[in-house]
Amino acid sequence: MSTNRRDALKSMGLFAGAALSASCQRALDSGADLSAPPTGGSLSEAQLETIAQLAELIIPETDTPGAITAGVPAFIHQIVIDWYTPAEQQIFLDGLGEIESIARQHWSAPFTELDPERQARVLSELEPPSEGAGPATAAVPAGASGELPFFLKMKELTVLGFYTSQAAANTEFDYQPVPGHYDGDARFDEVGRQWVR
Amino acid sequence: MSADAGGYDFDAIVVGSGISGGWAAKELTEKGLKTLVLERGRPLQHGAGYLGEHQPAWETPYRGLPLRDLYREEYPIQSTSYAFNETTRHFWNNDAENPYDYNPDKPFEWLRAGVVGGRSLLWARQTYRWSDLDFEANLRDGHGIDWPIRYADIAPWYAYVEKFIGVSGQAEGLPHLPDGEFLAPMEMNVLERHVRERIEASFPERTMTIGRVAVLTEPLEHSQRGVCHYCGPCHRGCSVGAYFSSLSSTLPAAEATGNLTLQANAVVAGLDYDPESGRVSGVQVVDAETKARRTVTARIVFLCASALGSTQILLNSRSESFPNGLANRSDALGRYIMDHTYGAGARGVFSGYDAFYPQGSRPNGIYIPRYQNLSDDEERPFVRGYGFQGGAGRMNWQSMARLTPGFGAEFKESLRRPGPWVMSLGGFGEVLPRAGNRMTLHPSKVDGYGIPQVSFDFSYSDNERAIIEQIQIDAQAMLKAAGAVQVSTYNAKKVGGSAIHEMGTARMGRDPADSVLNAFNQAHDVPNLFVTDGAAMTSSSCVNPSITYMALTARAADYAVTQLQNGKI
Repeated sequence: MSTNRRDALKSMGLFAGAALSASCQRALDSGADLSAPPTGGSLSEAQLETIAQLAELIIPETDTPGAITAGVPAFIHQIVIDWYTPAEQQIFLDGLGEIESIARQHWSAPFTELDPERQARVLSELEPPSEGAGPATAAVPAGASGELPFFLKMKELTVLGFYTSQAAANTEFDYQPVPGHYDGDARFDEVGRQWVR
Repeated sequence: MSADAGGYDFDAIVVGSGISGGWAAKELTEKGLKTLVLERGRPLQHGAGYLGEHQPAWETPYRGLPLRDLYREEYPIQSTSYAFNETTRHFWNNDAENPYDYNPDKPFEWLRAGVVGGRSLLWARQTYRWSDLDFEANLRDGHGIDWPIRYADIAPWYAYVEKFIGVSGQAEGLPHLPDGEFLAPMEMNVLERHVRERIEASFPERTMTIGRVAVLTEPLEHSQRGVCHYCGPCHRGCSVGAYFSSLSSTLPAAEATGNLTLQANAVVAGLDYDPESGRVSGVQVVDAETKARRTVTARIVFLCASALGSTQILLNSRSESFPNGLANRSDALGRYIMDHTYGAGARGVFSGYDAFYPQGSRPNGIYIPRYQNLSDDEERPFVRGYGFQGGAGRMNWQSMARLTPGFGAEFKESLRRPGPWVMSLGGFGEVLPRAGNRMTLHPSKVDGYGIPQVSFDFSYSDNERAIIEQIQIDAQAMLKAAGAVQVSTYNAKKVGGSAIHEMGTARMGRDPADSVLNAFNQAHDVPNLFVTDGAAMTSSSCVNPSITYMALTARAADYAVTQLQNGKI
């Protein structure tokens, strides 16, 4: 856990005292397994389960499928193993460890055993404050890569994995690989879905 | 006319199969010449070669994320293009295999295709005629030399090309952006029409029209090409041939004559010159796969290898007669590189149209033709001018997800509706011909074929910088006048070459002392040598150049064959 993160958590009132107690430190350290580097080109079962539940938390099943049904966990696994630089992978895995630490610190249970409401509280702790960027801002930072924090990476990968999936194309979207025409005056409510190819 | 009679391998050799080479091949073969087309890139079949066409996102590697290590090592230049990704990478040049050099203080981007069809596969299809505002520009303000032709010389060839390739557009009656032989225009969407009305009301000298685009909106009589089905990304390839490319159009026409021989993986290193006849006597070819060298011969040679590629070949064709490069008595060869200023403009967010959501993906935008310096009495801090390309659409899930805090069911629900309407206006500015903007052959570095690498020394002048500034000011003013609720300018500070409109390195002119080519794209000093791609351009205008290359090529082919028939070549 970074000093900044600890300070942030303190300021949010997650920790009562100014100094961390020994038991508190042990609880924090218990997140270490979730930060472990991949072995044999794969993350651990516990890491994959945490990723799956985080993804489902970000894009849950509603009247349309959620992230797990759409295959998002496998996509994130592939990105973390194959696509991320070592530095990006480290940020991501540290983030998983932090999620686990917060869960154990608060409720003395692994993140994956918390109910969705508590899981959401844990994940919210890691969301950076919104900068209120307007839609016309030239460059919206892509959260999947670079030095951006775990929360933005996890959210971006979940969003990308979900909204580019076949499951989303057939439910969340109006999938038309060959529309056949252009109608510049079409009304959204006549379709009710965004169009994707 | 027969190749055998004169002891030549072919009647004509065309170097390059892109937008210019395809036209040279079609015209020369249709006029009966046995023609060899040499393409340095890999073979590519129309249709079967379009691996990314209609590929759904879930089948694209890493869902479209860039393959960063590969791009950095092998495509550092090509991967800067908006059209470069895993659905198109197989069309592009490999930078590692085709290195070039540039002044490190002045980066230059050379974006190239690496397949048969060249950049005609990847182009943005915008198709605008030049006018005498362009052909007289150098004469009027003294930058560069006078063009040896005027609009009247090329106008019939524009019409000839338009009828064959199919150009969708709206006639506007503007003298400085002449109308052409148009197919039905594509439609503006609801916000674009509103913006057009407001711009034309606030700025009566400005016009906004739908883009003129080489995409079929209705069938062509002479052709089996299909009409556009509005899937969007033309640059992935279109197996029904709705957009014009060499592969969909000119090369099949050339093939149908029975006079075409097309060889891929054929890198032209240089041309042999025979001082006795004063002619090109051979074309030196390196096999891209085996590196074997051979020489082929023909009565005439058309260089259509792209502005920079054709000039590289000429610079590398040195002899006692032409120690500084073939046909380079003037020292103009390699100089006067032009492009268009690119990457600056403004975006505006609009409210009030949220009920509307266009259906289909129109492979085209809007166009605001140049309105500056149309007469000589305007007082502006720059000469020449700029036009705008742009369009309006709604922000998609990817942008909105990044702008929407939180997660969960509410977050997911919020992404179900499209985001706000955004209209963008990006300027394309004319670049002046300057002798110091040049390409040379590197004295020691060679590429994988043993050919000296090109070295670029190119920068913008104060005139281009003033244009880039004014583009942002004007774009912002027009979007505000149109009622945008939020406007921001942008300037990506693009470098030379990035507009992929590079031109001017073997310019046409009246005087052999200051130009390489005559009014018919024929080398002043070598009568059987023609250069008909962007190298021939004497100035750059601010409109997209491809149709002018096509028209010049068809015109030059007609002239060359007449000269051959009259025994003058």
